Amino acid sequence: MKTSSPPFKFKGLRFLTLVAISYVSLGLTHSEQAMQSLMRAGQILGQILPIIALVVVINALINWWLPPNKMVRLFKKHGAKRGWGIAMVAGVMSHGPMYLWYPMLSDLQRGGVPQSILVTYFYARAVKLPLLPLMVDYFGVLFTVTLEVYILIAAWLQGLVMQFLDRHHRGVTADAEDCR
Amino acid sequence: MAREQVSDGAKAPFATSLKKSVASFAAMMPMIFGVVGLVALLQTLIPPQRLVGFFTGNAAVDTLIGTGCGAVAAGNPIVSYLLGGEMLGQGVSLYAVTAFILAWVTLGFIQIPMEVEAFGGRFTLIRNVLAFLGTLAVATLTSWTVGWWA
Repeated sequence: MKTSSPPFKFKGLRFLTLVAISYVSLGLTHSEQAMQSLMRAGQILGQILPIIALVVVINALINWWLPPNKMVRLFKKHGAKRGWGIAMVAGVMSHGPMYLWYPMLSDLQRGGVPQSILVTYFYARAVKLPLLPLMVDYFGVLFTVTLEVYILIAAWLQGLVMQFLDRHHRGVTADAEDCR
Repeated sequence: MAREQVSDGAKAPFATSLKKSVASFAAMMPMIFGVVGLVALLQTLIPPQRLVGFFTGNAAVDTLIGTGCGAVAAGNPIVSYLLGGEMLGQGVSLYAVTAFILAWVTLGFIQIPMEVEAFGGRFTLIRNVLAFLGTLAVATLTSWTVGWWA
């Protein structure tokens, strides 16, 4: 299976334009708040740019070592059980804002990784390993352990529901094509 | 794990993977700038502290409100823990606080345009609905379990 890269095209230009228009509108009516927002945006960018750089390198390493086509074969070879496990471990280990991982996950989706695996991965990201001590400090050990266990169970169940919906959707699509 | 060759016979060099990765992220940069801009705008217009005032005292309603507030809010999860601790101190139920800190990391209304762009509308809709229901269920079960053990 070959995965051809789509031609380069910026995504979200219309969205960025809308946000820019919001800033200009706010600037005209409440210039101080617009400036505060701009400064805050600068701070956030400063925080996430190193993470973006790290994620770009991790993405390249994963694509080099374990390209999407090989990952799909692994998922098929080891079956659903390992697929859920890999998705959960990857979700728990990943860090930074969710949207930083979209390009890589989108590549995997195009390569054929099942959407159910991605759903499980996304929910498992709610377990934040580096923040566990802080959570224990605020909410206690019992709350933290209970919450994390339920999150992982919910991640797996959501993947199962997505798998069911995908199969149903594929069945309906195939039936519709047969009727033509 | 033994390295496997790509299907066209030779393993692509790392530089090629790095170029592809940079291109993927470069294409997403307008969307990332847009999301960051929107997050900053909302953080300025709706300070997280103001979210505390939205709760009613009814566990079921507060769980829904907690989920909604967490889904709209954005930023480092540490902030959600700090706010969650404050909310508990002010008498907000554990149901609502759990839903709030969970929705903060699992739902992101601000990121929806970017998610649609990356994965398509159908996936985004189903994932967010599942995450919303999952958050309500996990918040309720966690609060029940903790209440039962304590």
